[in-house]
Amino acid sequence: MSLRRRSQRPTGADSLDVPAVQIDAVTAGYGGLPVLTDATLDLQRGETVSLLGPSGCGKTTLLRSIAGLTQIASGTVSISGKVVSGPGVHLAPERRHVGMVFQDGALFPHLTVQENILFGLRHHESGESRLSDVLELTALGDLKDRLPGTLSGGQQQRVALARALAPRPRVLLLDEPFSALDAGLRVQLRREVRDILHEVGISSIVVTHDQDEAFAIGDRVGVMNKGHLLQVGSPADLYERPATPWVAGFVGEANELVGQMSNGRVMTPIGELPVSLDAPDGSSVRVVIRPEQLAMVSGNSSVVNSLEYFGHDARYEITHESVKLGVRTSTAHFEPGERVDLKFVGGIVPAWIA
Amino acid sequence: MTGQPAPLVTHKRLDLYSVALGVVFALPGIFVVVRAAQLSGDIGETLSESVGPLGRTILLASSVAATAAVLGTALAWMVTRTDLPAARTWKIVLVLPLVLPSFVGAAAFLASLAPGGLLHGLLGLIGIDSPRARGFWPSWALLTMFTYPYVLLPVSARLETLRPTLEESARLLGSSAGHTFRRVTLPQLRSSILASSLLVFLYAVSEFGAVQLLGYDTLTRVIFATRLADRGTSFTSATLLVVLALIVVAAERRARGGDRVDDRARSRSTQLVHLGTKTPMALAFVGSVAFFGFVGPIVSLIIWATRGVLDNRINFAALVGPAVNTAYTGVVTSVLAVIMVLPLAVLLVRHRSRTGKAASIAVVGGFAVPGLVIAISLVFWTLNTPLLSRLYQTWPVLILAYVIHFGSQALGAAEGSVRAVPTTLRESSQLLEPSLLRRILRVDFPLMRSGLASGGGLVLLSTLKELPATLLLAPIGFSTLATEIWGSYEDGFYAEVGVSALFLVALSTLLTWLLVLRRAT
Amino acid sequence: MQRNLGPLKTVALALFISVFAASCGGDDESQSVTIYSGRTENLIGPILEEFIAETGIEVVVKYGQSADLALQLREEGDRTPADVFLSQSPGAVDFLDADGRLATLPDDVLDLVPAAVRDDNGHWVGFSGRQRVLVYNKDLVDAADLPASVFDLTDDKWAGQLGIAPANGSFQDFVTAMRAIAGDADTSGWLSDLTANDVQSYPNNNSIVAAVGRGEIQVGLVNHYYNFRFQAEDPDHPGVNHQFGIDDPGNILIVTAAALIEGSENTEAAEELITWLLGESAQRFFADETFEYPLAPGIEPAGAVPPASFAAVGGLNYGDLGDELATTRQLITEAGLDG
Repeated sequence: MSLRRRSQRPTGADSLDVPAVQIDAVTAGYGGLPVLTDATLDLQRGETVSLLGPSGCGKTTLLRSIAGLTQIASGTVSISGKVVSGPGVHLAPERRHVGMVFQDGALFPHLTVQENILFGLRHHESGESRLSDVLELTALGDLKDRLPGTLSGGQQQRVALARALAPRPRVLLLDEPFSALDAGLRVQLRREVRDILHEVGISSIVVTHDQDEAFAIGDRVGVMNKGHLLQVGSPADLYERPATPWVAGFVGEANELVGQMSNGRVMTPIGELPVSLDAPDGSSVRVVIRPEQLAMVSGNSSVVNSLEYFGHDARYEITHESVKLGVRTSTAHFEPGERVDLKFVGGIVPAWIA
Repeated sequence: MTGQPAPLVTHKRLDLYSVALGVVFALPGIFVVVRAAQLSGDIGETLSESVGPLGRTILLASSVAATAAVLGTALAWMVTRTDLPAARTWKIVLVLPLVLPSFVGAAAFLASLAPGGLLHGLLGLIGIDSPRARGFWPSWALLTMFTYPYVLLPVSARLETLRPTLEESARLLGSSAGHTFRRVTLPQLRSSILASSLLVFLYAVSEFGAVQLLGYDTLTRVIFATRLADRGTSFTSATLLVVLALIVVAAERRARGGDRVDDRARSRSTQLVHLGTKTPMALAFVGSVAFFGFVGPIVSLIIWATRGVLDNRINFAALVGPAVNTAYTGVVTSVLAVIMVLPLAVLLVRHRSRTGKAASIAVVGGFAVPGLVIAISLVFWTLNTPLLSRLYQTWPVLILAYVIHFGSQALGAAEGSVRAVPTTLRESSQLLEPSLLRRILRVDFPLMRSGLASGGGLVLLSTLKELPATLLLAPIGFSTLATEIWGSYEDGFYAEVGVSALFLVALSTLLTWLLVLRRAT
Repeated sequence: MQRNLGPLKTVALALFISVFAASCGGDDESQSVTIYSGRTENLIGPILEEFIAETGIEVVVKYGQSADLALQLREEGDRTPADVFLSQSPGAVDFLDADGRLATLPDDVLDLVPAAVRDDNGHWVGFSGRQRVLVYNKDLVDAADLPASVFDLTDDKWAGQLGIAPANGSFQDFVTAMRAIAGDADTSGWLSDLTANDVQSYPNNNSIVAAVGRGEIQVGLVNHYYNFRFQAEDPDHPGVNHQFGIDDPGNILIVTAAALIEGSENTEAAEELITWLLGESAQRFFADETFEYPLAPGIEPAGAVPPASFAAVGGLNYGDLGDELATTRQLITEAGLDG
């Protein structure tokens, strides 16, 4: 608790209504090839935003632009209201008060855990007490005299987090922090990290290519592809109201269908669907239906191809008029080969003019 | 074959190989000690004559090693970690002081400080009269200029394999570029710097021509001056030198013991430090090093060469044969040296074997033995080894002499390269690819390339200019650019010295670029 | 993969070729001489070419420093491929002679030069001479101020301005000659006085002449012929040779020597070669092309070279130079010089 209070900076520039980080129309790249194009994003104070996208989409470049590790070509980056990168401005990384946790931990191999954490506290008056606070926060007290080479992957990442948090950065950047860990540890550590971030109340950006991770850790999620920041929103927003069919597909399983507009609804092979799209009758429209928005009853129009049983629910693959569809349900039970009819059970589906 | 693929090369076999390698590299040292004992030189008398020169040798060699370490590391950092303009060109130019044989490099340097020389003119412009280059300080400065590339090459290679996230983390934790370098980068470079300044130390210990030209009296002078008149003293002094080398090498090995070096492969190129307004200062620094170490002497060579070319006295065609000999001999030696020391490097890094350590002391210590002594010792060993005696004064024995003399330069880099292959990566590749050879070629080699190229590059440059062993052990009639330069220099045919030396510089530059720098990146 | 194996193949191939070449050379019947030459190719090559053309005898040469080649010959012992050793100074030949490595030359070869410039036991013969001189920088020193005797170089005037090569064979031979003429006590005193006068040490004659040319030092004790080379290289070279007064030990001649290696299987051709070196054509070459003193009677030095005669340093036997080397070196180092 005490940590959270101390982390707040009562200075004018840090007042609550100024976003922790403002990214405005930033383009960046290496050797003239833009890796990041026209990205705009505000990170509110105390908020955690996940940046989600396939590898090479520019999410790490965006993170490095904030940290000052990459020079941007155009646009501005501001931290606590102060421009740190922009036309004619490039504040050195060490003067940005930004913390960063790298994929590989990047712990200094010749320094102990404690020395690693103290590294950023050289100029802090209360370095020692800050050290014990952070060790306690990350439950690393027992390991403080160990060398990084003797720690497990998960422990190393906790040290990296502790080290990054120690100097009370204005913003914390995490670049694929869990990707080097195995699956079980990964889920556990990401919960721990989320709790720590919330406890400290720090503004943070987490880069990941894993949708579960992005949704679990981020208050908001930004989806990126090919250098563009396509959509930023709460996990529910992204899932229910994706900005593009690509986003829809990237944040979860999506059945994509094409139909015709008719009286504000779309006529598809599985029936009429409600959409919130203002398009003239007869125009061709793409819709995305989540597997859980479909239900099955015994019938004749479709065939069950296969079944994956998860306990709490099950996923079926259905062929309907030569279109393959995924259906997720916990209520019905069918065997592969059975003939069924499909029923739309969701609300409004996202739609785009094709 | 069932189950896990058995490793084809076991620890034990590597140990055996290393013992053999260590013995081969120790041959000159053994010869020196045996001869000293046979000739029963008066140790007391030798010591009384040698104690002054020995002290001066130690003083000079340690000073040169220290400054070469600082200069080489600073330059390595600038060409690999900053946005210094034309960094690639500097990388080649800054290595070039290594290409001239020290006797001709020193003579050309002195000529450039004399009236009519480039440095004399430039210093004159800013109102400085060229200093009289005699004694300790000039010897120290000149040897530093000749030897800092021994540090520059391996340290650059190490910097290039270092994970950039370490330095980035430090910067983000509020460290300036300087503090980051001291606290994070330097500890990672420590073993590279130690190993390479050790080479510099040993080079300075065995140096004769340049130091003698500058009138600074060291132990090698005693060895050379007494070689005919008083062989007992000559060999006893050489023994002193060998003992000094072994002590220093062993101490370095010990100091290196506790190193904690990051061995993870890097995944991405590093963001360069932005020099900004400091760019002119950085260029002035790098430029003046290049000027004193290379451009000044080169201009002297050009002045000499021009006189001969104008008089139409130079037979360029006569240099083609020696140039070709120089090139392939150098390339073969450097490749062979790297291949020969690599197993030892594996043993040292992965198995931390005691045998390996002992062998490595022999390999590295051999570098302190002056070339002439190595050559004479190989005359002895070749003629007194039954099968080998048939190969006396043939090309393979010459190559062997080169490898023994310069193999140490490849060892440090080879160790660094082996370290650059992460254990996990090796284990996983072992499961995927049972053939050791293919594993080495497809997994290990690409990761080790940069380090091996830098080690091979040092061997290459040393071999290209080697003189005493070439004169004594080469097949009769086999000449290299270095022997041509020597032949002309010996009797004051400076125009020929200039032309041949420029040929050597051009050849070295070309080979360094083709085989070392281009492959390393 | 193919590319990676390239260097290995080269090594293997190169090793194979040279082993092969080594094992099947030298079995033809024609005569051949192998020379270890302390004289560089520039100073002997043209003469050897002529010899080959004239006699049809094959000649192969290994070039190197005289002292290093002497060491090598000593290590090689009776397994040496060398038939003839050409040395820049008597010191290196005597080193081999002491080890019994030199054969006796026939009288008709020895008699081609005056007795003073050959070994008493007939183990080597001088074939050219170099005079010891004082080279000075004409821009820095007035010719009128030059010393009449080498003993005058201990004067304050030359403090820090004199260059010598105490570790070099020709300087050591010169000191041996000085001992023969002036005695050990005076020689030793002179050497100590030089040290006290801040004499500058250089590795060889060549670098002394260069240092005088640069103005680093004003004068230097060297063999005469280097300055001629420097003038040929650079017409602006300010070095000039100065001869001391008549009979001064500073003016002695140092001979370059030829010897036949004990156990040579090509004695006939080797002797023919040494005879050739003392013939008119070779002697003219040493006089006119390398600015040395020819040793065969009847051949005059080149016009630019000042006259000198062996009689000028009367009483000196060149054959003693090498034997006395150890004592000479002892005197040099005892005087505090880096000999």
